[in-house]
Amino acid sequence: MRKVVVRLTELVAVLLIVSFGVFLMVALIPGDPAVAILGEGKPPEQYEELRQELGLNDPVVVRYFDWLGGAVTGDLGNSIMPPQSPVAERLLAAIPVSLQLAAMGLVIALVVAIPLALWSAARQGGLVDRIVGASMFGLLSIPSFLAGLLLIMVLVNDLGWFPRSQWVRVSDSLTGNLHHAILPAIVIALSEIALFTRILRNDLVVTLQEDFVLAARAKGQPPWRIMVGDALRPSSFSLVTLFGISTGRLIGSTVIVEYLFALPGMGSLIVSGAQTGNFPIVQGAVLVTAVIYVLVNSCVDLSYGFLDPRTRRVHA
Amino acid sequence: MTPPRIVRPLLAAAATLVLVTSCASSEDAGERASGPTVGAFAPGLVNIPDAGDVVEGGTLTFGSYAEPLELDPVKTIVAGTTGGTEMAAVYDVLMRWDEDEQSIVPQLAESLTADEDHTTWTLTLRPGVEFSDGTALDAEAVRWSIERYLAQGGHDAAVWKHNVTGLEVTGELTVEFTLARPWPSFDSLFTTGIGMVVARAADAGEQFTPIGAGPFVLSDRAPQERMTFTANPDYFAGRPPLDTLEFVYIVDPNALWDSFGQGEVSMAILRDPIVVEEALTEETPGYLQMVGLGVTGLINSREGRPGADVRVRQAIQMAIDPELVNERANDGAGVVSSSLFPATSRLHQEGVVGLPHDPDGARELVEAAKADGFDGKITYLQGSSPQQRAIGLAVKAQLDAVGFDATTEFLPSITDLITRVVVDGDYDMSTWGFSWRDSAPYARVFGINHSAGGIGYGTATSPEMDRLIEDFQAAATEEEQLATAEALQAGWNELAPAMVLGPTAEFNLWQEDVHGVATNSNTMVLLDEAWVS
Repeated sequence: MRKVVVRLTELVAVLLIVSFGVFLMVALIPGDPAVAILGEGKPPEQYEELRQELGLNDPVVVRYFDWLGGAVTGDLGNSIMPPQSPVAERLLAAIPVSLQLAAMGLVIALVVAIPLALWSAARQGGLVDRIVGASMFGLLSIPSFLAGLLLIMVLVNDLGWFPRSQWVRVSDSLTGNLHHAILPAIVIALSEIALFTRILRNDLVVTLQEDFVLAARAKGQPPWRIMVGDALRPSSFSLVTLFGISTGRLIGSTVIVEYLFALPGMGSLIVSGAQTGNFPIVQGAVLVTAVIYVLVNSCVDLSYGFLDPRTRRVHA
Repeated sequence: MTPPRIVRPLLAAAATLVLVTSCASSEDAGERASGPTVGAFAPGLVNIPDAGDVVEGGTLTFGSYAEPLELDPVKTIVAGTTGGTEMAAVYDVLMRWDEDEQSIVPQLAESLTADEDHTTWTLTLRPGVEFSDGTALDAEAVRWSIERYLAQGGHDAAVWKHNVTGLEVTGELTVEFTLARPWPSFDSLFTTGIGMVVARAADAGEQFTPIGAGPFVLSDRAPQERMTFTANPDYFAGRPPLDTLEFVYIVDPNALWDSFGQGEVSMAILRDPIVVEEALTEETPGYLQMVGLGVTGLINSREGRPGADVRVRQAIQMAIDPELVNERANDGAGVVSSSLFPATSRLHQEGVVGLPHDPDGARELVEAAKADGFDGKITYLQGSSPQQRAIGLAVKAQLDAVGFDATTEFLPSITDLITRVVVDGDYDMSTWGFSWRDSAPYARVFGINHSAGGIGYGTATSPEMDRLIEDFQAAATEEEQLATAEALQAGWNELAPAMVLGPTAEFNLWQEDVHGVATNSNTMVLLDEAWVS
């Protein structure tokens, strides 16, 4: 319980720092929101009037506390660019896209990475291990936009298996949604597969040297049972940590994948907000991303106690 | 070396991250092309298949790369590339540009007629036309909408104020306009923003609501994703054949073209020269408009700027080879020209051309300016996309070659560019698109180069240029139009207000099962009679 309270306190502190940092950065972005809103060719006094109206002439700290006052009550303000809908509404439209892509990407990555790591670790130093290792280095070295383009060229343009772009909401069609989401999710998964496989394989190799594994072998347990039943759980610390970091990171950083496939997720929202000086959108989106990131990583920290009961005593 | 098409978005995508940031023969273009042809670029309706009987119902999905922020013809530039087709679905237009007939014809209005000297125009509305909120679209509604447009500074407000001296409601369905001078193409204004009649109720709430008398009604909007319109059952010409019209926004032109190839979208609008050329060579049906002065460079002629000296402005144009720039930026796709009226324009004439590419002449002009104190330094503002960077570097290299000391400044977003050019006026040269269309060239020419135009942003004007523009405005016959266009080009060459690199191709394309698409000016299409077989 105490640990949860400490975590929550840390979470609030982190969010305050992140939100102020973002506020400062948004204030430093070149470009004038008044120009973005009014467009070209208006008299200079009209731009000035709008800046005044939006509070853009106030000091950053004043503007931050105004915004923070609303944010703590759940009011993230309105988009300053038309349609001037509430920021929360825009976020609610974008978050499911990013969450789904991140979730699908991570599930695909885990489904592929865990068996590969187990197989590779079980055959440490052998041909399989070397092939898997080299393949994972290859995957890590391919940037996601290049991987995306290659997959589009083959799976979309040549074979026609997947749609090129657009997003179908689950509420409109579940099959349509999965059909449109699967290729972007695979692109996201590729680099994660490589990371997860490398990390888990290395931890498994260390675990397989432990006495309890030798004991299990001596008792004549089949190798697959030793790998899955005995070695996997204690080898998962790094994987779980990485999983938590990846989850938070993927929510707001799938910009390239969203651009390639024209998907309306958080990445697109943040980029277009930054381009047009739509600061309430950028602030709201980064805050929500930070909240998700911190929450997921807090859950990961708490899960260590389940993975290894000894850690509970250490922190007690 | 030409990179494969699939690799090009890689560069654009990388630029986005940093930000957080052939010709076919003319016969290929189809027999309905209405303008002169250059390579694959034949302006007009191209490759249109025969249509059968109208099929009622269904959804037409239209892919576009630029989502309009607001469906308000006052605030959003009314062109096919900026949301004009979406707005035409909501408001319709009083008059429209018929590409086949090469003339302005009535659409929502019954007629718009001029007196003999084109100084008094009478607009007659159709009886019984209603906005989608049930109120009448009558003469008072038109007056209110136009006054709103002028008061809020719509894009054509300056040209209207300069020319229109009176607006009088003369009957329930008639409005009379009195002009300060003869203007035979005054009706072209009613094909765009001014011709989109906005209902009073649109301004009644806290936020603008798009309410018009068009064939469709906005029913749903997911920003950065799609806009959905449903058929207006009370449309004056009867319920449109389509049930639903859906606009989806795909920024990457290659992705948009691929989506079109996969049949995910039934229609699309493209402007990337390489993709447009590919679409045209594949004989895709559509409506192509060549936009004059689509690729230009503003030259700031304000006091203290290098461009204040006419020799510098002329040297800039003469230093630049548009072919070379296009080769660097677009792999040679598209049409290049330094003329106001390039070979794809109906106003093009043999021998009527812009300043020639003449590096030696440019060098002499730069030296003469330097002798009078010019230090040779000039800064060129550009965007950050790979294409814009290529243009920037090609221009810089050619300017340096004739004695300039050029610097290229790449700005991260269009907002930054507008701030520097429009608001601050802080630039020597800047990338820009003046974009005038054959369907209605005068209003744009006025805006850019007339001293009362208001959208030249520091480019040079002169009393002589004002006179030439007014002559161009008053030209009624084709012969007069060609003669005044020639004079305008000569005046432009003398004044050299901007660097001209060529026109832009704007292509509305559709699948072979799409029929009934009507054309309008500014590359807009009207979909009130569109249907999918």
